Amino acid sequence: MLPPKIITHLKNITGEENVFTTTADLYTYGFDASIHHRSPEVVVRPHATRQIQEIITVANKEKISIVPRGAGTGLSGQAVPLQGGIVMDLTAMNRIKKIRISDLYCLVEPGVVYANLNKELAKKGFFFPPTPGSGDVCTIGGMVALNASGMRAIKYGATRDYVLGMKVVMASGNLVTLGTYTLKNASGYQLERLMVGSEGTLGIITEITLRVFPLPTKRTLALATYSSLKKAGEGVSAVIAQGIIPSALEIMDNVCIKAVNKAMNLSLPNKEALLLIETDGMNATDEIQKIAAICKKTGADSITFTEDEKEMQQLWRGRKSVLPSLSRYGDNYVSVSLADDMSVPISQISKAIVAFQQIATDHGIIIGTYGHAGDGNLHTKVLLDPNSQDQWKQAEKAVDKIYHTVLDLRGTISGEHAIGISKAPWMQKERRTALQTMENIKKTLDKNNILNPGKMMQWKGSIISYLRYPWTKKEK
Amino acid sequence: MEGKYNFLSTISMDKKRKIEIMSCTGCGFCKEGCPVFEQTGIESSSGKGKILLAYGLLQGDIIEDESVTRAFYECSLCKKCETRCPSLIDIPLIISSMRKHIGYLPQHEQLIQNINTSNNPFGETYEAPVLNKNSTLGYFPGCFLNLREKNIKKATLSVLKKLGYKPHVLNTSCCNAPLERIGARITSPKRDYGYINTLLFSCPACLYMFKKNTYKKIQLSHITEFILQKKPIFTPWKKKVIYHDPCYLGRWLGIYDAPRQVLQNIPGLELVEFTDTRESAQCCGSEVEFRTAFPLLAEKMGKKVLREAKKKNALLVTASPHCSYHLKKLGGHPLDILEIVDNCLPLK
Repeated sequence: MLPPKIITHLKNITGEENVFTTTADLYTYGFDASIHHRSPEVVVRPHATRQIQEIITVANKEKISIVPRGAGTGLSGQAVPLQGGIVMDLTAMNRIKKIRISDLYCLVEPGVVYANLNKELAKKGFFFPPTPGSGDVCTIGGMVALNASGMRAIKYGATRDYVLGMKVVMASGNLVTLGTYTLKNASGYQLERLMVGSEGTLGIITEITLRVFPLPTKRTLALATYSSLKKAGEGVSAVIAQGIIPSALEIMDNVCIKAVNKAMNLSLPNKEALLLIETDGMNATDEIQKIAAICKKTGADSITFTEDEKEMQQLWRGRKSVLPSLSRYGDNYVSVSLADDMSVPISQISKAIVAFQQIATDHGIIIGTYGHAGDGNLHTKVLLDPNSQDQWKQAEKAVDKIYHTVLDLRGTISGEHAIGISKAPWMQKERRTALQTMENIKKTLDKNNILNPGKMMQWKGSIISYLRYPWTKKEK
Repeated sequence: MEGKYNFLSTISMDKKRKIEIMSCTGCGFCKEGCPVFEQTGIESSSGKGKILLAYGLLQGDIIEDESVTRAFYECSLCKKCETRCPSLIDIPLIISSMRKHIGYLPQHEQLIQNINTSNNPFGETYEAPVLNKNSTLGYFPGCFLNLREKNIKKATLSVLKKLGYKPHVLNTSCCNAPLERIGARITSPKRDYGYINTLLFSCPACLYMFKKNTYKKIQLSHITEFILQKKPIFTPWKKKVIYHDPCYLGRWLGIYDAPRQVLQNIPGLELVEFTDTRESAQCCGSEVEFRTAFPLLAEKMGKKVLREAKKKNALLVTASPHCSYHLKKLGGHPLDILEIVDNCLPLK
């Protein structure tokens, strides 16, 4: 617990009703959607940039850590406050301040929920294209801080590609404006880009200018099934190699198919793998037919299409539910976010998936693989008995092998979930030559290391730490 | 605050339920549409927050204090989170299980005492007459119809009479739904069912409690299901109405179509829907233990329903005396579906 005078100070800044110190609040704000947990010492919910400046000034002076937090849907522990300190809940800053279609941008506060922004943009025939699986609840601030993307990144790119500018409160308490309101900008260092994916370690983003895109006039969706995972991976490469860029190209292995069917009561074909392929725009139908022919040629057992909005939604619902549905795969298993977000060159997808399955078999654990195969971004989920110390240890070994496989294939540790705690040791291997530069930037911008300390390049040791699951409790 | 049984460390929750709690991936999908989280925006208000608190108590990470108790009760048990959870966790069931082990809120003490001493949540002495003991058709009005929404009881009996029935009207003993929701101990009242083979309910909460506890020989139905079966011919009623799904009738009992079909069978009636309807319907916060402990939240939730009905320029209709009573107290003018049916059903 922080000294009472600090709590009083925070209450004076934001109002008593926006400072939380009860057991229930501190405990629940210590979680995100990762395997980690630690309770903060106080949760504060600012409503204005000025309040954030004042809070950060206090924290900097008293050397108290601050962890900015959106909806807490991150999968790698970014919002878990390793040093206790302050969790700053930014969800109350949720105004869409401007939508300027004629200039192709919108101006939002960080707490705006992704789906709510797109609901408003849709009224004007536009959208903010990155499509995270957690889009119904996650916030724009969180998306920017983690450079989130999703299933449409293959055609539309990641959050990074839409951030034109932002306002950021730095560790000193100063408010800086980065970037522009224009589509093009070659005016100095692209510091807004530095902030994208900085995971709350460099500053607190209080306003974001995002580029918007017109909604496609039409969407079509195809479901291709494969008896061979390897062939499904080859199918993905073949589609891309033909020069057609689908708006989504997703893969699910058999573990994921079974999990979704069980949890969501769907009847996806029980095959080794399936691909969900979406095309959009004026030529959507032509393109999907060309893609279907390629899939057939590369060994798809069946391929079906739909342009019916309800059917498409149903299929996407299945895909979006893979992550949580895996939790219901077996009675004694839970799905945990380990090695959950690697990207490999598209041509290496089948090699990667086959390797992951072999690693799972070697370590006696279950791994489900799914993801945005079209852009090489795969997700794996480890299913394990959370009470088994042995399974956690095996999982950690498997994760290490998975990441080494990814790096050997010239891939990256994270495509869209970012680093936090869970991926830190392997990011440190992947970016070995950049680590010191990253640390130098951090030190320059945050002298007292108060902003989300201990994450990314600063993490040390095993990731099976600050675990929210049971077995480490027995060790205490 | 003392726990009811004072053994939190040994909460009798089976392994399956514990695994279910750990199955929560923390995705937070349950927040979308949660009527309480929508108002507070605080983690502990959400389904996810409560699952994590249950986990914390079971693991011994935290011990119960007032904030934890309050968090478990700061939920209207509307079940909307369950429809959103892709891990299929029965969040309301886990919350209810935890409520059996934690302390009460001070606001609940009086409610419990009232039910235990007076057989109704209001603590009022009232003995409703038991009627037509020889009938095979029964009707359970429940506390709310006997003591507050008397108009619904009157309309229901009138409708049944017009349809040619004189039901055996059971006594006023509380169905114990508030106690069940609070997690208090329940002593099932002894009731004389006489010759009843079909028992009808206006109150969905009573129906749910009877379905849960009553022996299976009696057919238990909501009054709208019964009316639909009888296919009465209605006189025209040219009104635009919007139907509010009560949580108990909808998400708890799965009855969405019967009330809508009854309304649609009335010539001239135009039925419109809320933006969030059926499984996604907005909870109005009417359940007695919730609005007693969290009146401001319940008010905001109820006013949201009233606002949308007004915006759509439609007459608000519901099928639960709890919803009617609560929404009226907030300045609304909801009608119970049976009041409309009575109005449109001619005498034989």
